[in-house]
Amino acid sequence: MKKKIINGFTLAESLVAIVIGMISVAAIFSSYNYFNKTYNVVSEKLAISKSAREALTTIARDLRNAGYININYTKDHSPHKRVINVRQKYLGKLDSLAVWYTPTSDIRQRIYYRPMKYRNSNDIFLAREVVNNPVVGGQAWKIIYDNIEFIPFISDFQVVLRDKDGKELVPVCTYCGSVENSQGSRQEAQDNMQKVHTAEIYLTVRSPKEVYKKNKQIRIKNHEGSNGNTQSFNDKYYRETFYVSVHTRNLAIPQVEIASSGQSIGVGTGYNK
Amino acid sequence: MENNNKIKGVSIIESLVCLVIIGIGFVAVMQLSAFSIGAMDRSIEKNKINFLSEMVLEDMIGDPTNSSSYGNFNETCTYSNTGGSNLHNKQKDKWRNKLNQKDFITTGSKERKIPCFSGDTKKTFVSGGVGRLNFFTGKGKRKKYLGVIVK
Repeated sequence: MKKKIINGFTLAESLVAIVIGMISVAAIFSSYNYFNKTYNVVSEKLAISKSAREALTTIARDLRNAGYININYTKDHSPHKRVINVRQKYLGKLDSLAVWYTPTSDIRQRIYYRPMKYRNSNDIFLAREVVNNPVVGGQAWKIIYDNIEFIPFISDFQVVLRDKDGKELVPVCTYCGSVENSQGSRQEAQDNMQKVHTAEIYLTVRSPKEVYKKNKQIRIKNHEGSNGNTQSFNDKYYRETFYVSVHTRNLAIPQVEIASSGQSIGVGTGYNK
Repeated sequence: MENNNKIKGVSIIESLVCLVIIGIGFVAVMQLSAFSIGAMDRSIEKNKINFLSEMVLEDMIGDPTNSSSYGNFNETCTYSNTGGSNLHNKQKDKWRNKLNQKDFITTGSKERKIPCFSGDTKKTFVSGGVGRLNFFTGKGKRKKYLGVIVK
């Protein structure tokens, strides 16, 4: 009698319990993997979004200031000769951009955005170099930021400058490369600086780490009617293109009419330059 | 036998039902994480829309003498360029292309676009020297209003 009262688990019961237990352990394990994956994807996308926001906000601000010359600035006798510079295919198919402006009456800054490669790697970052009073000669030259990593892991950086009629302006440079030299003379490149009305920026940012499980075929165009600027990748990274377009207020300055008299300030029709 | 009957545990059916209920809860938690990816995508999309709205206002500022031509932009999800040689026509076509992310990134054979649903509209208004834009995305639920003095 006593033996009958002490009931343990039967074999079937314990097998079912083991199976259920294993299923729940598997569920916990797979959900851990799933959450981990989600966390990675979200943090990679966040990194892209954050980089792009910081980059485009800063670049847009610099472009708005581009060419501004403080009326009291005397350290450089011809500051208007260097205001904006684009060098196409500076590194691979990526462009570089430089702008000059005077934040105060005795400082003139050159802001230089350059794609650069990390040491011992093919990964590219966007550097932002700031130099006070370049080409003044001697003691005034001062490097504020020396090509620091501004935006990590970029895949494409395209700069398109347009004039007041929406036509693409090439070449616009003082540091001209082979592409620019084939597009026009130095004088033309110089004259085009003051004609820049709109600047368009395409920035493709890559995720720092791999996101996809399998390779994905990705093609980046980023510029309509692109002349050989398309890039193809076949890897596991996530990429996203961000675009901003800015009116360069200090270059092709629109003619302003005085509201009271209807007279216009400045000479020329429509635009000062 | 009498003794045995008194020991009452959880029956197999009860425990299975319990498991199913817990499983449903689990699925809900899993969806939470999928939702977080969606939220991140929407955040990126908003980020892009912010820069695109900046583009629209910058273009209005850049052509103050023709500012009135920059209003009446009204697009839903199908963008058709109108052509034209004036700056404002070109700029509006540019807005269409960029809002549609034309020629940005192609994955496989599919061009990546900002998702667009019915109820989404992108409009501009210019009156009294003030330019404004209303961008409605996410089935018209996410609204962005921005304005600038043009003249």
